[in-house]
Amino acid sequence: MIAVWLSELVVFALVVAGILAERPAALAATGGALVAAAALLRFAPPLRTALAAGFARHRAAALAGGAVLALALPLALRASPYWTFVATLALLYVTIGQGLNLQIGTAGVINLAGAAFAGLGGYSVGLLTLSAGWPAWLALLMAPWIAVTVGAVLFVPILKTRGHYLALVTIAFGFIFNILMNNLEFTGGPQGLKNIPTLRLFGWAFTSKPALAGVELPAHANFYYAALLVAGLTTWALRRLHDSWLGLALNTLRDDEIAARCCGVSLTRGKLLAFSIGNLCIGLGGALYAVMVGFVSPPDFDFGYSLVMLSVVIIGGVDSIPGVVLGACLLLPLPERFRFLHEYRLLLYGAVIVVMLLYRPRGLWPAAVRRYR
Amino acid sequence: MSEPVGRLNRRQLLQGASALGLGWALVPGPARAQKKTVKLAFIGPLTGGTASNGLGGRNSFLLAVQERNADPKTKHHYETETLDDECKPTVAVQAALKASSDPAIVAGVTHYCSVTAIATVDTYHKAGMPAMVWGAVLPEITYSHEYVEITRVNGTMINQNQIAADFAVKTLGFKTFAILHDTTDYGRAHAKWFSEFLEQAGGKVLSTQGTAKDQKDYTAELTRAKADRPEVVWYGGLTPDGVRVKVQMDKLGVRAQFQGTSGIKSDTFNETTGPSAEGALAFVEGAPTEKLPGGKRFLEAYAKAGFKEPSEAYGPFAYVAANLIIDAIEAVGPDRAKVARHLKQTKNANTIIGPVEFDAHGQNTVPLISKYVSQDGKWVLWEDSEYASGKRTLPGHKFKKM
Amino acid sequence: MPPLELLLQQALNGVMLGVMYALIAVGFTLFFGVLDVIHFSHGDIFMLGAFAGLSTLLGLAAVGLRAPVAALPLAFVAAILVTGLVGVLAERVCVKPLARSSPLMTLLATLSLGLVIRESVLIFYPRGADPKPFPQLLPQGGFEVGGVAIRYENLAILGIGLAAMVTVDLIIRRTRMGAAIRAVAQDPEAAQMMGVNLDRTVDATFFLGSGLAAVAGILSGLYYSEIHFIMGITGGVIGFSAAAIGGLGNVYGAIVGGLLFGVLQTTSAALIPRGSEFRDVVAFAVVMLFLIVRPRGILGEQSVERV
Repeated sequence: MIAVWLSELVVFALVVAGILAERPAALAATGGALVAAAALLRFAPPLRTALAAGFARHRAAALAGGAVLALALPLALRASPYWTFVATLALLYVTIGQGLNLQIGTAGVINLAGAAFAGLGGYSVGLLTLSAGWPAWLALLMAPWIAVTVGAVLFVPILKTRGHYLALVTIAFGFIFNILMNNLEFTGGPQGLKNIPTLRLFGWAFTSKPALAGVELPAHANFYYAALLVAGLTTWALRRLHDSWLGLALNTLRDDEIAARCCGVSLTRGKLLAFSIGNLCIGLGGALYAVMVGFVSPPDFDFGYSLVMLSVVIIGGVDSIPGVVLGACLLLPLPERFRFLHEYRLLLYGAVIVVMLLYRPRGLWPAAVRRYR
Repeated sequence: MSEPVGRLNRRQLLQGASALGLGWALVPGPARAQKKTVKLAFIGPLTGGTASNGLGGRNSFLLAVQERNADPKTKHHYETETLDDECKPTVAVQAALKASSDPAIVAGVTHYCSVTAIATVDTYHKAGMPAMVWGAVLPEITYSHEYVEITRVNGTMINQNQIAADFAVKTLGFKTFAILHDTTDYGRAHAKWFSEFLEQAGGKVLSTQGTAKDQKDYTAELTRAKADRPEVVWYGGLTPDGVRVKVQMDKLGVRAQFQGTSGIKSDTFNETTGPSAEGALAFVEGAPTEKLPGGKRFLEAYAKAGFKEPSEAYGPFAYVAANLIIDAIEAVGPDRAKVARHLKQTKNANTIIGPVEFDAHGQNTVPLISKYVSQDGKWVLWEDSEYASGKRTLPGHKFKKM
Repeated sequence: MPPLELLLQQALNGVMLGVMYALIAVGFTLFFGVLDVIHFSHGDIFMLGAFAGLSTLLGLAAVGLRAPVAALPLAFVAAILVTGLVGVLAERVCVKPLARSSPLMTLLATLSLGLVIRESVLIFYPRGADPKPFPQLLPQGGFEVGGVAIRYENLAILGIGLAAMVTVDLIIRRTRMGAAIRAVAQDPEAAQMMGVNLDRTVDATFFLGSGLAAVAGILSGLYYSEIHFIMGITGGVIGFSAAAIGGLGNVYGAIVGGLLFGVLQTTSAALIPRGSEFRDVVAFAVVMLFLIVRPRGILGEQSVERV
């Protein structure tokens, strides 16, 4: 158990050091340490199996340790509101990624309009607070359902088309959403919606600086904890769903529709349910984003962001719940870390994705084979 | 401690130097040791469709910092951090947060795209970091608040369009206009202001059409506009799209004068449009760089520095912004709050874009709008052109006679 | 309602667009035929073709060869070779290794590869961020028929586009390689058993499709007199849409789909109030409707689904 906590602590320390290291020497040292740790695990199978067994035996302890460290992260990053913001963004992408993974990974409903559904959540919060005068928390609760409702537009194509055709339908949906947001008056046009009021819960405004254990944290830490809570809850809920009969039914639907129907799985019900629950999570992520940043505009939800969401799921591991968490926590901060590359950043990002796909085609944390006892 | 800092310096500078292909970076080495190091940020679009403007701005910013570092009279040594906002609001907010949460960065020269500038105004305000906008022209960036941190060296589109509309109607005598604009903040707001001033001046808008940014094909819109036989086709948007509109106008035989906004006043426009560019009109805030003694020096220094990309229309503004910020830091020390207050009180500063003076909103009340016409593949100040002297006739006037 | 000649003019504008879309769409459809994948970097290969053509033309002009009759065919050959090879490389690196795993993998991999190609042109082509002027090599000027302005250039571009499509059609229907491509599209295993070299056939298909994209790229440069590194993004999405509304795997469907998309864009810009702002909304909405009504495209997929 101690070994489990210790290894978690080592990873945590390395990650924090990697984030905060500014000087090339320090950066190289932490990078080297990360590579060394990975190599150690790769080339020392006994150590690997021992650690894996340790984590398997003390799952609860491992999860608890992880939770403590996740709670402590803003303390470690308190000098940098920027990295707190990036960490929060990664957590929002955990929520979004879990929703998308349910659609794409579990049920096989391809959705290349993730950004549009996040945008529906974000724009709903903006319109409900600014035009209808709702308080932020109520808008935040309502917005995901609007994303689900608008998603019903795609019900017919989802049932009628498959594979690449469905991919195209969702791409088209994403484009239409973006052009409409950009060109309609009530959504604020290209400027989008500004000055979305911040969240206020039990008299606590999310713009004030919280203190943890007597240490003052940047204001973004509020949203970090909110996003951590939401990401934890969605991950837990979708894990339960994935392990339930419904999850199994969706898997069979994905792998072989005809066989699934022979076993009495309703295609209509399964696909639409997965699609809607997924949109609920994606919309929630988008809504939280809108409240955190305080504005939404069309370029925030364009096709490029749909791709980022898709890569979170695929690089993490299709149909793998922990994979999504890993994918989001890697793919969001990494490009930020490499900002010093300037013009070469996107080039490298594309190349890295290609290489990752070629060498780990099942993702970094592949979905485990279902076990039933 | 000083060793790693020095190494970082050299590495960054070497990076810059290798990118620019010159060795200036290593010159001020020994002088640096005694000076306190201060960091300045530059944020603009370094990738994507508007990258050429962003890179021109970045180079001009680097040039300013490099010149001041080489000057033995400067009290501080200036380091730079350049960040890419990709012309996208989310990325811009992240870049702004990154810059403003780094305590070593005292101030920033920020944003070319209006959508990114308006999105980050609150970020700088919350962090208390002085940010000087160098290219975005949306009025709200300065006029929607009174934050002490935000200033803008370039003018807004309001003045630009008033002059442009008056000039087209009263001086050139055009009456009917077909309006095309991109559907970003930039194009939309330009179209709104231009149409408004056009009505006041007595011109008539025959049709208004919005087009997507980075659209490739304008034949449908131009065919539609052509049907009304306008005397002028006006386009509110940036260079890549402006090039397409102008070229396709000629191909479709739209016999009208072409008039653009500050967004097309770039060397790239003339180079890419080729002979089609002849006689196109554009309007830019501020005095023409090459007309001022300092401006000429800027262009020469820029050419000598050997940057890969041209400075483009807004490079001088980035250059001036960097200089104003450095002036303020030299005057009051590297303290964000003091620098912000000092910058906001800037009055009658002598710069290569003419005198700079900020109003209560931090907006430079630029007195001058320059009118340009494309002549022999170059943007020539209207007053100096052969079109004004009567030696040549604008395409729009030729068509009118026929 | 605008007068008839204006509508005809818009239709002509749409057909010009449509020819280029169709040439891109044929590539999408060919790749889908042999490997059942969507090769998303195809749009950027189209862009690369335009840049390869431009570089060749500039190189030829530098050695004094400016006559369009000689320079243009050389540019086409060089661009087809370059993009063909890049296309085969893309297939070997990114498409075939992933063809057996989920289609999502190829989707993401090829999209990322497209990003790499795009950013490479931006960074490594001299001043790649700017739009580049493309030399006007086709005869300028034109004539009017019933109020519709037709330029010689339009006719030349339509002619070249048509010739390219006919050539592909002949290659697919009349040559041994074409027969192999069709056989693999129908059933790769059976084709292999009949002695078709699968790898070579797939390579040939990607060479052919990518070469067509190069033709589209040069035509686009000639038509607009300007090329830009981001032209592949919309080119790719629209090419894919055109291939899908025509029915993936169906070459004729791709051509029909491309023309349809082009005409839809221009006519909706012309006929609907504020149409220019919403023309892509209309075009994509029609695509969605088409796929709902005919989930396998207008002309249908050519290969039967394997169960």
